[in-house]
Amino acid sequence: MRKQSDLVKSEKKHPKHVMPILVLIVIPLVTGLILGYEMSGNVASNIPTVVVDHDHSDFSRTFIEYIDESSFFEVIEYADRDERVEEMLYNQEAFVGVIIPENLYSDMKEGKAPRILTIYDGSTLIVLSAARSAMSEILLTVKTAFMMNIYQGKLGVAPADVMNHALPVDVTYRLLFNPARNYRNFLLPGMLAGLIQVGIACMGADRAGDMRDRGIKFSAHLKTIFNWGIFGTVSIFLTMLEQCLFFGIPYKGTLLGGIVVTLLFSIVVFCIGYMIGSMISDRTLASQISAVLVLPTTILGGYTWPVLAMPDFFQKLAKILPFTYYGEAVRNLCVKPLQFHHLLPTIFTLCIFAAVEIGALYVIKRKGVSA
Amino acid sequence: MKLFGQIIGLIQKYKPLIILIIVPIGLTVIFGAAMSAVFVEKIPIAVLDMDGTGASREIIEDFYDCPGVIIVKTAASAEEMKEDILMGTVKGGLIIPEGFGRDVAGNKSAKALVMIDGSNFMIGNNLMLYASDIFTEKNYELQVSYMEEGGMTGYSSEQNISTLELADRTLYNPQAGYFYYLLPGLLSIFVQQTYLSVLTPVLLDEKNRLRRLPLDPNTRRIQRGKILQQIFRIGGMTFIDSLGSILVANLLFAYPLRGNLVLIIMLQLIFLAGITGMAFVLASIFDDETHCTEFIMFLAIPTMLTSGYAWPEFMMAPGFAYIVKAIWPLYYYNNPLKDVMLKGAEFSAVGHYMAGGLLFAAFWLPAGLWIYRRRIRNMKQIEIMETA
Repeated sequence: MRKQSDLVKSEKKHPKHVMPILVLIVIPLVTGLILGYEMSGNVASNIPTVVVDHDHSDFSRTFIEYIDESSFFEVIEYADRDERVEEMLYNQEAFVGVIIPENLYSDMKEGKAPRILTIYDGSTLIVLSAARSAMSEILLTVKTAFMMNIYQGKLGVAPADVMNHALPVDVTYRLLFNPARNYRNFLLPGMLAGLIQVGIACMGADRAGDMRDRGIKFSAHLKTIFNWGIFGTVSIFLTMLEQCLFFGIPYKGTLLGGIVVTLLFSIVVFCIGYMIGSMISDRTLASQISAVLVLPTTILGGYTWPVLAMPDFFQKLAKILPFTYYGEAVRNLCVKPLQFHHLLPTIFTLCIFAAVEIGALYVIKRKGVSA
Repeated sequence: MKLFGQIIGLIQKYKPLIILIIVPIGLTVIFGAAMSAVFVEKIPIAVLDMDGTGASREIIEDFYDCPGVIIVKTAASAEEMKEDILMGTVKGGLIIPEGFGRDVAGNKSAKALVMIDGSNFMIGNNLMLYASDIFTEKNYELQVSYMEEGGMTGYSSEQNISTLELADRTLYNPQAGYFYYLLPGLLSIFVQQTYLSVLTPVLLDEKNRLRRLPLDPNTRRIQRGKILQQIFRIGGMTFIDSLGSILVANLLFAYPLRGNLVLIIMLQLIFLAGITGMAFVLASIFDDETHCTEFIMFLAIPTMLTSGYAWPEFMMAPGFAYIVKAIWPLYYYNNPLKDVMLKGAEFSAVGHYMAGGLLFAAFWLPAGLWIYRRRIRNMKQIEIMETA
């Protein structure tokens, strides 16, 4: 009997407060846990690699050892024919192939400029990018050693001067803020914020539906928007905190600046949903339109594919998308030691967004734009 | 006002059609155009020339001539450059220290520093590539001249310097184009999101219809025929969506049409069977259409990121891939779709995905239906208890 009454209770519970908690707390935290765990490797490593060694010299074996010992590659097969490389890449058994030509070492000694062929699977960009740079670094090390031998042996350069000749211009490339190319630090802060913004916008549409036709003062709408902006901020910060605590994603920037920027962003996104929900009485449609408007901004805001690589029209479009500013800010807050003044342009822009939206909402409420 | 009402009325009337066809094809056009460039170019950088000699100016000229970068500022100090990088006004900088020209002339391995904002890989990696190309070229020139000074002939010195260069070949996406890579993933997400967004409300309607009916076991039954008809209709429209998007990508952005169309259709059919099971599960969990729709909107990013498309299976944490494959079917669709569309993969290469997708559907389709029916039965029990 008790079981039956429990059943009735659970079935009849209205999910009015359950949904915001689900959307802004539970889903982001669970998603954060899932993605954080999935990407615990942080960088592309142990990339399955196939090697074909036609040279079989000590030099070629040493070169292969360099590759295998690198954390980036894992030689999974030593093939005896070139076609096998393409076969393995085609079947996704390997992502990188290295073909060492016959007589590599003797050709090197004779100054015949032999080349090592590397074949990459271009269909997985994260692997391609990591593999290319790691392979170049390995080869640069080997090649520098070879050039030093040439200078010392053939040109009689003194050992102390060999390095100067082998590297006439010694360039240091300093990759700031994410030197290990940690993919999680690059992707997750903005992607999780992108996910939460969908929830904030949908909640905006939902709440506007609840507030419709109540004849309340405009200040009450503003209060609702502000309160939900705070809820959105809490959601984003809880998710960030989870990433910092459990998965080691850094937060190097100003906390106050982060709070201000996040609060403004939440208000702006909530307001988008709120305006739509105020105009459209069909709650589901309002939620869908709000989500469809904000979800693509995760891509169009240049979070992964940069805005500066987009055509002119999309560069202009990106300027009117709140996520363009917030996506970059939230990643920068994680990886860069930003101070409050670094965020001032973003804060200023988001304030303009908020002011314009509140103005538009005022017009919508006053003129009763509704369908 | 009246016009706005009419527009919303039209959207409401044709909502399934808009969601299933217009939105995905429209987004393909938008994303395709936004990511139409293959290379990230005109990356803004600053320079700091502390040397001021002909050699340093020559290097800076090379940067000016490179289309990949654009020098937007001459910094007064390294600190100023770093501050500009923090502000985001430049994405990197070149610092040439004092004595650079003297060291180049004196064969003393001149030093240079390239600072790169690594917070966005796409920009950072490209900037490193452009800078590295410029300096490799410079080193090549200088090495040839050193060797010639040492008595080696021009041909021999060039051969020695070219030794051990990598001959790169990138298969399936030779220019590493971002849109080329992303399109199959986007298509699969479009199919998933649009199908769930339209089918789940139909299942919810049916659930709510049964709730409203009187407690007569003869009349209170799931309308199987009607539901099946809707599943086929909505599923059929997703084919127009995916094939239309592929065609649009080909016509507007020269996306290559590789691969076997029958395989693409089969993969989609298997995926639809699996995702239909998930639609039943979702319809049994939610009662409110709006809440269900909101939840579905949330699925796009997590399901994409966990499907092995962006973060490949071999890089996933231990045990993760097994769970993902067991609870969501996207893995069996977007990965083989990419292989078919980019590699022209045949059945032998994607057969294991199809087998996995079929297994998934064989479990989740009846399981979803069972959960859905059980939920309806619970609703009936509750009503009986309430009536009693």
